Amino acid sequence: MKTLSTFLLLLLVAAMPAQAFDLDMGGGLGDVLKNLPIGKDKGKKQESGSDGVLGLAQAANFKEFSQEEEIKIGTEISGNLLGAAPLVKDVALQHYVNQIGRWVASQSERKDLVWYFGVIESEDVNAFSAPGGYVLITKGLYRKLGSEAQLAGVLAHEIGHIIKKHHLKVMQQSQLIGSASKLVGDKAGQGNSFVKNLIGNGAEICARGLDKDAEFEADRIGMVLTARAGYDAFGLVDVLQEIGHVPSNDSSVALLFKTHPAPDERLAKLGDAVGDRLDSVSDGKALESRLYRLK
Amino acid sequence: MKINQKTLWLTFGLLISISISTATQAGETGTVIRADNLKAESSGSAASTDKISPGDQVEIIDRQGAWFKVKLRQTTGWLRLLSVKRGEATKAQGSATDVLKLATGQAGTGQVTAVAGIRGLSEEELKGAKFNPQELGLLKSNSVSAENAQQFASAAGLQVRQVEYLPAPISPEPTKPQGGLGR
Ligand SMILES: [Zn+2]
Repeated sequence: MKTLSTFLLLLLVAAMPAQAFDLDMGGGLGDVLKNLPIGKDKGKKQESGSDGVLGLAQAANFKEFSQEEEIKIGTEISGNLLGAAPLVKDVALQHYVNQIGRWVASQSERKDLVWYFGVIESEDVNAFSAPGGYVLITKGLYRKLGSEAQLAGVLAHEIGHIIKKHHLKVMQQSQLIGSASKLVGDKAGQGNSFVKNLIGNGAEICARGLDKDAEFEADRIGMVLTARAGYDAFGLVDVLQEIGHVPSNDSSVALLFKTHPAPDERLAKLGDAVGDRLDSVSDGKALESRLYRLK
Repeated sequence: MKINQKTLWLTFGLLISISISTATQAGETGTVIRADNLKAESSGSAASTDKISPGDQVEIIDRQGAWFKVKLRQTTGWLRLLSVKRGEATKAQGSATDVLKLATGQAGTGQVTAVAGIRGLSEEELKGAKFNPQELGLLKSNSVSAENAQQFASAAGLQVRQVEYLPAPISPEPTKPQGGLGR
């Protein structure tokens, strides 16, 4: 029986999309398996047949996170990310980015979330999102921007990940779901053990990639939300063109290029998707002069 | 004194030309990344004057909305922004392949880790990060209301437009999850 459940477990793991874990990240799969409920009460569970490995896995597969859970997970991730790179201490900058981000998010179907945007102290070229409405962009990427439409485009890509719950889907696929009630019962943030089991050490999930199709989808949503907000829809395209010029061995783009498809590939995919579809909104504003300049 | 003044003017002129060229991207080389048509005007309904294929080199003269004004084989015309990548083909393609390798994990993880971690947000830094409640509080305190954001948008004349979400393009071969468990 023990062999059987081990076998089933292996089968489940094999069936998971490879993107759900990056084995090379270390800690990922090992911890996942240790923390699976089935690992802990193997003795009890295996007797009850339908309640065994497959039953749990199925329950996990179909489990949807509530918005409350989603926000708690995002809060935990963001708090950890900010532990690695704090906010740039420029209130005017942070206020500006929040106004642009919130305006773009308001054009999405999740305008009722409380949205948080921030510029973080890092010379890396990257941006991050976490479930529930958290978006962070590095100073290094902000520095490359030439217009407000470009900023809007970058934020809109991240907003796309959030409205499509891309990170949550990875978590669901990776069978990490335990009892949701425990999560809701725990205090948000700070050493929430359930959230820890779910996402590893907080910000770690930001170093794991989403799957390529999720990135292409976020690019498409990014362009549309930017266009809806009245901006030049091609702000994100400008940024991708710019990032494409950074040598791939430059350490500032190492994580971005590890977690995202190559800029050329993203541009080509966008080209296929856009065609003439955005021709009617070609009068969007770039707002070069309103872009807040870093001190 | 005379020489100094001349140098000053030269520097001034140089500065002007630099700022103009970055604004209009005049004379910049572009590489065609997808098959498309060169158009007589910056409009989808304009007459096609030439066909372009991936790898073609163009000179980017101007940009207007979703269009680049380009010079291709002595003909001036318009190309969709997403059909052209700014920069030289040889350089761009070389780096693109490297990037692709990195993105698909073909380059091997050792390489990725080696270039990361010198500065910025490496995987190690993210994994080792400690929850920072003060910074999180600060992030939350910066949040603005939808109304506030709308006012700021209106102040710049931004107007909401109805735009449908873009469907995923139909690709001949579906993108498969990268890598595998065994790697
Ligand atoms: Zn992304």
